[in-house]
Amino acid sequence: MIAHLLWLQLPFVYLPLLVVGLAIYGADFEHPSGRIYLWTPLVLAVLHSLLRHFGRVLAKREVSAAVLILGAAVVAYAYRPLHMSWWDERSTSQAAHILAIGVCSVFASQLGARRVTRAGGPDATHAACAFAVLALIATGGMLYPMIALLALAPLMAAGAAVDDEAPDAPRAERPATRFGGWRRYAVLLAGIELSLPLWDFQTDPRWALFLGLGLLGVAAGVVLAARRPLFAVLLPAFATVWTVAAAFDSAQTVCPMHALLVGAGTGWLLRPLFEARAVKDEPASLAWCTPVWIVGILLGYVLAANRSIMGLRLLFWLPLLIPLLGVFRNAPSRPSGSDSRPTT
Amino acid sequence: MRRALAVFTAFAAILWAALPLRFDVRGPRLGIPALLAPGEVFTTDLHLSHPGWRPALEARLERDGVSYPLELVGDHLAWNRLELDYRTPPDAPHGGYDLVLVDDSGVEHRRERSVHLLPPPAHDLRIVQLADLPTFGSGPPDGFGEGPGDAEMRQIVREINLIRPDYVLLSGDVAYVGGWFHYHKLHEHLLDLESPVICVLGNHEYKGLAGYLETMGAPRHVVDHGDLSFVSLNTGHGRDQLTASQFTWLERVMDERHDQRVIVQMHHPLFWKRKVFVRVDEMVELFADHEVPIVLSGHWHADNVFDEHGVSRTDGPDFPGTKYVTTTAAGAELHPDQSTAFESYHGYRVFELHGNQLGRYTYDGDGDGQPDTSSSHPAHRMLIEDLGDGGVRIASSWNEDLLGATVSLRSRRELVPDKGTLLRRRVQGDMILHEVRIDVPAGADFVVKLVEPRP
Repeated sequence: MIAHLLWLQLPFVYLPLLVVGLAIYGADFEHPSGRIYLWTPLVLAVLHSLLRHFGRVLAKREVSAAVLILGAAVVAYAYRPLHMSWWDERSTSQAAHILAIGVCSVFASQLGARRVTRAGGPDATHAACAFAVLALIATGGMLYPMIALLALAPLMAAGAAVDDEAPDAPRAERPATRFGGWRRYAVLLAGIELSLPLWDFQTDPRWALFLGLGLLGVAAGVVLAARRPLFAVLLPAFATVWTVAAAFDSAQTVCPMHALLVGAGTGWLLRPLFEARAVKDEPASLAWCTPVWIVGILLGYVLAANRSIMGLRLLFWLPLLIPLLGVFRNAPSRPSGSDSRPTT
Repeated sequence: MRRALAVFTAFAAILWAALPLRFDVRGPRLGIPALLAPGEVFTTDLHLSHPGWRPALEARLERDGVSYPLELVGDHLAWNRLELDYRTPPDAPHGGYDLVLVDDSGVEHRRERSVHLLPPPAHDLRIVQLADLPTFGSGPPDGFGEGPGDAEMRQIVREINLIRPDYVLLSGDVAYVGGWFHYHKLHEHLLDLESPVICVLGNHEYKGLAGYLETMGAPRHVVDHGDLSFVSLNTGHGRDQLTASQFTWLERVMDERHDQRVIVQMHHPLFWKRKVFVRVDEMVELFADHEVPIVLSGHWHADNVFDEHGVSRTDGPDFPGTKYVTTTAAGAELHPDQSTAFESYHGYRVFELHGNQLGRYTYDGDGDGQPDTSSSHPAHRMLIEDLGDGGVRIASSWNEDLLGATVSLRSRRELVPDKGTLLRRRVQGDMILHEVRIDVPAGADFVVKLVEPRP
């Protein structure tokens, strides 16, 4: 589970927190902190790409342990000034610290992904547990908004201590899932929906509760979609109905049930990702999923911030109708997704 | 061994972040003050670096170099938030105080002018509201220097101190460009106001939200004083709107204060253009249900008054229902095209409250002896010049009388004013401040000075 935690913390904890910071600091263009926040996503994207293509040296056990221990120390050091005063006059250094933690998060995610790959591919049970732990970590933000970043330090230390994880089943026999276009699109929609409470509460750290509930919903979705065929239909159906209702009355976006249901629907969407075997050096198609997810969160911010185009959220849902109908028809017999295909 | 190392690292990281144990004073603050009578209890809200920790603190109020110790009468610890209830000294004089908390290592935590000891709110009140302030500071690179906006603001502060309202409301866009130094300068200017200040942010505060939050505090809040409540809403969130969670909060706040007099301020108006986009009907209904006499806004840099149906009233200021009032800019660029006032100028709104009934809230801009439909009071038309030696010249270019003004005269010993009524004396360092109540007729130009008391 540790490798899954390291892998998944980047898209589901660090990047949403970065977006919240971007919304608060990113508008302060006169201040270096705002400029650092604006550059951070680009820097991390480039780093992530470089590590994917040139980071094979990280696969060595001693190197990865050293990187993780060093990363844990950097995270603990960089988090300290963020603990109490997330915003203060020294926000330039705070923004730089957020960037430093982001670099550690990218390294940890890449190492986690390589370990998951080496073990034969991701595992749905481990992924669900990882999402549940990330939900707990994210909820801690209610006490201290950025404390979820500190959690990266013990995660990295644990990653240095525990190297590989044994697969529950021989993963080589699993299909290689193509994470299809419409599923990516649905992840975009999930990003839009789950970002709305982050946008609404902003400086009120209650957004952490909604992020935690969303991740808990993802964990539940991953588990329930496989074990109860009925849930495979009900979860996305409820999530869709609730979201459409929320488009008419945005007050429902700050209902905890909204985050839980949209999270569960996302978990159902991601399930095939965790049942597939590794493709090349990347567990399934997370490389596509992550940017789509973050673009969804940013898009949700833009739509919510401009009330006059908030109704566009409904239009974003329309293209899903046709594939959703197909999935609902097939879901009980093929819960892992209609676009899974056997390995050739 | 490896797992033990991981667990140890986890604990070490958490301890490293939380140590040394420290706290922030979240409230009260300059823009969200505690308003209470001497001898009453107020709550101080602390945010702790470590859940469950109770810092040992000494608390006091300070004003003019004199300290008044506070008595801790209760506390409530919830995870990382500690609420401390302090009783104020019954013999402390009325006025604004710094709240000073000293921890056991001797470090002072000061919240300037965050506690105001006042008599209970009277039936008849005078309140000043202003928004869209001048741009402070000299700008980058040395923003903390003196800029033209600072002189304008000092003049406005002098005028408001002469008017001496019971409360001052700041309705957003308080530091127009949004750099950190603007909020620093704003804080300096507001410390010179004698009346308590209740501040809410506007859309421009989102250019430097960190500075606003650190200086002025929470984006939305309610300040209670006896049977009077000031509800301040954040409409700058996103593009001119009130969020879902904030409306839920507003409903709860209004329900909890169903028997209170409630004044509402928000930066954006609810009607016409460049307004709040969402939940307008719900808010209007809520304010009507609670018989809110006035909802104050800025943002347009122009005077206008609307009724609860969203109709811009040009037939006179007196009509039934809640008045939705936008006030001209105190210092930012004017937009005369959006004004229904007789004339466009920089200014502020002076209004009266009689019980829960709104009294006069517009200025006599055309000089016909009657208050206009929407005009606010002009700034920079009331000269207050300190002549030294305990004398102050007051020259009014207003079209109307300013009754019950208060002028502050300084001397090294106790004297009496040659005009008006001496309200009280206060020691300020080696000077004695004499506060004198006086009427300023329209167009008057006179000097008030301190003289030897007659035997």
